[in-house]
Amino acid sequence: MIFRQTRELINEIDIFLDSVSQSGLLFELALKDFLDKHEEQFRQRLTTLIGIERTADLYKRSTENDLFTKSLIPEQRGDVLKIIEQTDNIIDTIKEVLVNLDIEKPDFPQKFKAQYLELGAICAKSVESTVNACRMYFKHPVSVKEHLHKVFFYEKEADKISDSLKRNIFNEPRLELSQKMHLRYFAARIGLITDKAEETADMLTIFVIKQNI
Amino acid sequence: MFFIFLTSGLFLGWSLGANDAANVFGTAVGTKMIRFRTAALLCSIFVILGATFGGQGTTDMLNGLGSVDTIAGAFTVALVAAFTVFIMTKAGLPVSTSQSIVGAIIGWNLFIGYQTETASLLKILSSWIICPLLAAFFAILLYIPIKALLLRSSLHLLTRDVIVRWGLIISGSFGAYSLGANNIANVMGVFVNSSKLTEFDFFGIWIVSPTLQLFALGGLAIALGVFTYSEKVIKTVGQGIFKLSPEIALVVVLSQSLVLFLFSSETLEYWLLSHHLPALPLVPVSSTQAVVGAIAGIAIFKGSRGIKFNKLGMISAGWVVTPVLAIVLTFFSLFVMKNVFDQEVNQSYTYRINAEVLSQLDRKDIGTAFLIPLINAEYSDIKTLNGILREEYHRAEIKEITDMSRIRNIFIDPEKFGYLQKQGILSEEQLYTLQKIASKSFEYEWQFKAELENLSPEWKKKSSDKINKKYNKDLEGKMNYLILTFKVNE
Repeated sequence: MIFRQTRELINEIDIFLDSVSQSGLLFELALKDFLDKHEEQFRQRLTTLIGIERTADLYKRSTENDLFTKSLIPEQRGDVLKIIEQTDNIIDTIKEVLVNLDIEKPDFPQKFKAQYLELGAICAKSVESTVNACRMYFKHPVSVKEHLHKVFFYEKEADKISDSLKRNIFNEPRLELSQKMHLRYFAARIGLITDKAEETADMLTIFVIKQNI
Repeated sequence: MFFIFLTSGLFLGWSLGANDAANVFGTAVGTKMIRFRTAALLCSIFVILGATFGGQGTTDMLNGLGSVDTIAGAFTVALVAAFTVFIMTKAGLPVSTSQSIVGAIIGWNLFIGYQTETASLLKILSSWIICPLLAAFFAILLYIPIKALLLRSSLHLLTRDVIVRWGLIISGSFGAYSLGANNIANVMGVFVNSSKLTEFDFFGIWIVSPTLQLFALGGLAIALGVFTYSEKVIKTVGQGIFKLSPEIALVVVLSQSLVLFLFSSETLEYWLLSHHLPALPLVPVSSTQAVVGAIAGIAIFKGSRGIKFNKLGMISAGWVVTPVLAIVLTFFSLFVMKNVFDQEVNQSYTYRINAEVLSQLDRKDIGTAFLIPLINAEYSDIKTLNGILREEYHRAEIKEITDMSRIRNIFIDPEKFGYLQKQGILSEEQLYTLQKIASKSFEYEWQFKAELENLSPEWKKKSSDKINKKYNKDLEGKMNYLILTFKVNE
């Protein structure tokens, strides 16, 4: 009885974090579909992602509401709300990249496909590590840093791949400037996912210190 | 008239509720884990329960220090204690009602000329130092496993929140009970000997003694203080010395509750002694200082970062300033009460040393040669007698001589036996023994007690080992009750 309400809220937070994690995995698959020109499959994945994003929003609002109305975790409430807000930004960024791919339909030369895929995979891993760190924040704060260092590592790797990709794009003489800029834009947008993950990780670092009684 | 005089005690209770009671739930409310209304309600209920059912132990200790025996005297003592608390609070110094009332009682002793019992005083003084130290020790002892349990385990943040919240509610309620049991003596203790209340028959199932009624009234006054004035104090407590997390708040409340309980539970004291463990004296201690001790203990354990030592210095200053101020104020207030308002601030007794008193003193190894010229001389002023005795005897001996030579005039009125039987306080054997001395008169208190002891083993005290303390105290309580029942012309 005492724990019933809490269990429901824990469940809501878990579903929300599951959504963030799934959005990272879906992104990697959707990007591959797009690069492989599997349009139908890409669309399906995008639709799934939009559904996940809606579910996440629903649970986010419900969690925020419960934390305030039931006066739970007064000390950490602000921190938890920031974590939820920040991780929700990750889903939004992923959705934005995929929607833009669907709208703008950039023409990715075969030559750069491997690097885009690599960037996509790093992003997915970064999101996964961020979600793991968030889960640990709730269950076992001392273990958070075991996941955070991976997030920081993936962000640096993503920056390196993104920079190299941009350099390769602009060094390619057969491409029009407009196409170069279009490709660079997507390299930067995809890299933004790891930036959002890093911002969440930075926050978690501070929140864990605050939790240490 | 009695209830008008009682107002000073109720005022003291109210200020205790407004200030000290905040310590019990202050950390929980301060960290927003419990709403003020919930805290105030729980605090009030458990303070009243603790005061009513657990307050006897510490009251005995205060009465050992000095038995204020008129209602005007009790009124003045309680009023000065409350006023001292008020002045100290205004001056921004941390204040304890325990220290204030102890100072006021000593002031009363000084004014009347009674000797302050050194043993009781030393116990009380040492408890003021032991209390925060013990709270600090408990806090560190609890902090380590609680930290390990809550942080190292894989409990979800929200589950942890629920556990800590319930921990705060339970330990806070326990703390409120202990506070009531421990501190009710401060509020109502001085009125016990001058109470004009009579037994109250509770639907024929329970006879509520005057002391219990006084304690319940005091508990209500504390509860009123909690509801009407403690919110601000509650919300600021805990942030003064060291920033608290809900987990530390739980440790602080638990430590403080344990300390207050150790200093007030007669049952626990008996249990500890019967298991050959050391027990603490049952003394009213300061909940503020217990909280401060617990918080400082954790702060020091965590490396003293953020601890405000000047605050701790001020608390130590309060240990000295509060009782001294109370002594001085009580002395002058009693002077005004006696000479301006013409009120009796103590019962006047006649003292007479006769041959029987001398032989009793001989048995206690107190030299009597000096007293022989004083035989059968009567003294109506204890100060005069004390002045004479001071030439030859030291404090403890003077107290013994004056206690033994105080005339009480006890007449065992057979008409009162029925009433005593209805009370059910005495065993059949004890009542039967009393009936054997029906219609007999005793000049001195000790004569009556000695007669009872001679007539029945059920009236005989056991050896003065600590383990027998409760038994002897209960027996002494019964004898004193009989003295009050059978006393004449006082």
